[in-house]
Amino acid sequence: MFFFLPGGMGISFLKQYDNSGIDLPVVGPAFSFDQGILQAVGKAALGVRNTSQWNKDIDNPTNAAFVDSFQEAYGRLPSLYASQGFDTANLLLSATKVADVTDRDAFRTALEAADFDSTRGDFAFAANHHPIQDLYVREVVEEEGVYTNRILGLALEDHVDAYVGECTM
Amino acid sequence: MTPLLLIEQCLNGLQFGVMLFLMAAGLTLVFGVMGLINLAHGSLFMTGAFAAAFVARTTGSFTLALVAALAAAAAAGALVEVAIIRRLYDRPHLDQVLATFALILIFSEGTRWLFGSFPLYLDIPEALSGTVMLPGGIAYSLYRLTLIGVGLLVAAGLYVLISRTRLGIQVRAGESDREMIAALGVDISRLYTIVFALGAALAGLAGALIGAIQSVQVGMGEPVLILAFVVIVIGGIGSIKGAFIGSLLVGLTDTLGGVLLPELFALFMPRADAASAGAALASMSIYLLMAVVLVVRPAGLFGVRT
Repeated sequence: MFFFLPGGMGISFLKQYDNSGIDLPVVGPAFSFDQGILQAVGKAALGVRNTSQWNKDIDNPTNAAFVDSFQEAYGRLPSLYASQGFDTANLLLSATKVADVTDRDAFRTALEAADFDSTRGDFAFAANHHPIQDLYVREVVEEEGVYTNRILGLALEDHVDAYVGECTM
Repeated sequence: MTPLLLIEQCLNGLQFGVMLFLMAAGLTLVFGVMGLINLAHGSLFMTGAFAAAFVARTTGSFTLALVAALAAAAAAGALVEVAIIRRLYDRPHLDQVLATFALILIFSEGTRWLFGSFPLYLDIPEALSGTVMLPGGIAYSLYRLTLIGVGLLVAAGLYVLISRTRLGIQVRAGESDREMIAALGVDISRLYTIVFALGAALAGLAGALIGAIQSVQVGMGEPVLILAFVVIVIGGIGSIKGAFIGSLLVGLTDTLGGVLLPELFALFMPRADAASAGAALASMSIYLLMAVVLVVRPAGLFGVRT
């Protein structure tokens, strides 16, 4: 059973689904199972598979440093939203290194180049400015009393947005 | 749309309705007895939910969590009444709305400051999880049945309180003419604090019970508050009976509307359009109900024209 309900709605749904006694396995995108809301769902989320472009156990130095420094600063594991914020900030910084913000065309080209170390590993923009990235299948697990996700495997490698061929940019 | 699904949705609507009643009863009492529009009622709902989540996390007992929700919401209500609400009774309604709206913001930020921005964990107790077999082969959630039971019990309790006890007499008298009962020697300030705290406790109880099946987060009270206002307008300001009938009507209309209207539209529209059109109309349905009731009975179903 596939669903996509972020935030509070996802918490409500998962708790009620778990209590309903239906045993169809649940699948959804990572936004319904992100680090911020998993603790509120509790064991109702255990074992659920979800897909995401990022998880804390992606094996590259940037991600490892990000997760460690986030935990040290805030005392909790980062969510995928945090990783997106981190990547965006680094992208902007990488662009400001080579171009001035007021020079729009140069800055845009610098952004398109995406020459920065991403927590997701390889990162590039496609012609329609959607990312080309790997998508992973994750499973909700419990680690040391905290509910989090664990990568099961790679779902799609270097995945591009489906409409890139129709983009006129 | 099988009969089984329909009956189950009726039960869901009933459960939604009695939980709304817990909110609406407090709201209508405060409005009826004290003439005060209290927008912060939703925040008291949230306070009960957070207190329950916190106590359940630290003690592991759902019963203690419920007691904590009642106590915390009643205490918050009494404190707010003595400190702020007391100054608003003689002011026009708009001043009351502004002041209690500010209370919403204070409660929300205060809760965020105490507990953080992430939702809290609160789950139904093991003893109440799972389903029961109802006559007709319907497997219905035991917890939701319990909610219906609790709601009906509270309704019965309020009926006894209002109609058979001294406090109830004072409340009813205060609704008619509060200057007269003050002249007759009733301590009006104390009565008002008790009524406010009682309404707050009911809201807190609703918050804790609903929080177990939905999410406990800042701002969870406002959607319920809006529905509670619709309920008391439909039922008539100041009338507990009106709040009860109104909340059942709103609960059933909202739930059944959400289930049946898409099905109705699917009879002559493609599925996807029917789902969105049906959902849109369903979310309007309770306001349409309110409009119809007001056309027929401008003071609400059991309201008294003053």
